[in-house]
Amino acid sequence: MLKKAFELHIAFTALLLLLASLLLPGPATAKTIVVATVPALAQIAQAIGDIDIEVKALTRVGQDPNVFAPRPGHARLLTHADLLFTVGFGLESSWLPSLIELSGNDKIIPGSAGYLSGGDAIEAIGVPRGMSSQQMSEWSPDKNPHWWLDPELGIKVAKALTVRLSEIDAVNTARYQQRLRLFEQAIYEALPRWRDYMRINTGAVITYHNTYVYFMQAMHIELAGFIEPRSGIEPSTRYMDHLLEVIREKHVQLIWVEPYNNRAIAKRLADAAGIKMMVLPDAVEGYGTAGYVGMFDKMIERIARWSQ
Amino acid sequence: MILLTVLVATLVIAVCLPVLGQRVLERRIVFVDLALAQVAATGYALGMAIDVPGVFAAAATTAIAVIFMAMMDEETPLPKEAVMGCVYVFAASVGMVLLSLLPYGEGQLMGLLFGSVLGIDWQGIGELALFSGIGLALALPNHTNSFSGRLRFYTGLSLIIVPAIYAIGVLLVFAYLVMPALSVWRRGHNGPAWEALTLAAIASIVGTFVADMLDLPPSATVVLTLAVIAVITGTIIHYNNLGPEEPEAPDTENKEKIEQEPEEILGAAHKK
Repeated sequence: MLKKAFELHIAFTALLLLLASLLLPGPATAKTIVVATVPALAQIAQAIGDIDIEVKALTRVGQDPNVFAPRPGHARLLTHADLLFTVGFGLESSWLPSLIELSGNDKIIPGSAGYLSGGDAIEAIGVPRGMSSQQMSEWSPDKNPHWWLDPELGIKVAKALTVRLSEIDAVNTARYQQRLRLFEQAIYEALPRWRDYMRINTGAVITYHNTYVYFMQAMHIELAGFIEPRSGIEPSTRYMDHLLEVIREKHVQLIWVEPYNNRAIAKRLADAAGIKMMVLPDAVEGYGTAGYVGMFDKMIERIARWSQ
Repeated sequence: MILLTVLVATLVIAVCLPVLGQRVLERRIVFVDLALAQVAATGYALGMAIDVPGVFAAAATTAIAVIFMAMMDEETPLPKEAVMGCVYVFAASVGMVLLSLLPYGEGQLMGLLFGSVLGIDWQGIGELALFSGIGLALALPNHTNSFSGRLRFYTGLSLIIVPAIYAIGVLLVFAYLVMPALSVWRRGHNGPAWEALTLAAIASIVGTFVADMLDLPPSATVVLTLAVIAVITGTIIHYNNLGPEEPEAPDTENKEKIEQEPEEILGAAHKK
């Protein structure tokens, strides 16, 4: 009788232990999960973390992060995240806060250790060179979030990411720092080549929105103007005619549009001025450093090809 | 230069759309333009998903929607406006699901739905005029309330509206379709077509030049100008029609109808 009760007790304890092991978080063997909001940030995270972390991206290449419509699956992705890596400067503000709340994950609330945004590491851009005073007045420096298109800012944010990852997962600190050096090296090796290529191949450029301003600054490309200075508001006919004058004065050869923009307006302007219009990607498929550097390679190559 | 194409494009729709708008208004199917445009855009997205040229896929889905609409009797007890609204939300939802599966889909569909009057060139204006001409020839002549008659009407309608929205955007098309016709509407019936046409043309000219002078977005400015002119005209027409002579005309029409109807019903019964 006593023996039977003892056996029952052991079985019960074993069951409890089993349940506890299932319910409680596992030991430190699990990888750190990083969720990035855009593909380029996922590539930076992969460059630093590589096999020591698990990286997931919320938006895919080709999706406009400004107007992204998250699905329930995206909230589940955030539920298990250890670090949320965002662009910041308002890019994701229309959909990310509610998604974080929906995920119920306290670790990734803005301000906590599990939330890193570009705004934590860098300042937004100032007024780029080559702009008229009218354009400067429409320029809102705190509203331009497209910093990942400047490779040097990519390095700065990668440094902040390295520090943050080391805090979360101190065991691998040395490995993260080693990869940061490689990442930095890869970019600084390519940067002079990119700049040379652009100096030879392109003059002043008109773009649709202010998306590529960081890229232009990094590659020393002159900006002649925007087709839509205020996002989502149709330009006036007078402004379009003004742009035609600018194209003539500055010998602009090329108009860049994002994959998401209204191509009809850009095409109309290009046709009226007798110049070319091209679609420039702001993200490219690929893994880690190779993916991030490959994005610039592809952009530079496309611009060079269209400039001829 | 760009000012000129904008002006001519808004004048072309000012000539084509108000007359069509009167047909749309008397049938109480104002949502038809949004529904057709959305069906076409969704068709375009579907085409991209299954690797068929978008224009053909858009034409195919629009044709299906046109056949579906033509199946609906004009005297149907259903509120037609509600049916059009349902077609719109259904097509929009299908489009959204398709887009969630396609990279770069959003930009394409937005481009389709929100064409811009700034983006149109002379070739585009020519195409717009051509489609509108064919569409008006199909939609304007009186049709019988039969499947073939309704099919001709809706085909004509879609030939005008879908290319127009693609070329110059929802805002302008909706405004030019509805506002002039609504403005000259009186006592439950359409007013003279020339009135609607004239005020639409005035709005095109005034709106385009005001937008250029004040450095404002042309589409929205033209629509606002049209709205102002339409409200003024509508108010004048309303008060002019309060006179003693005019009301008799619709009344006699009504009386005639009431007198005719029993006969018709009897006649139909006798025939059977």
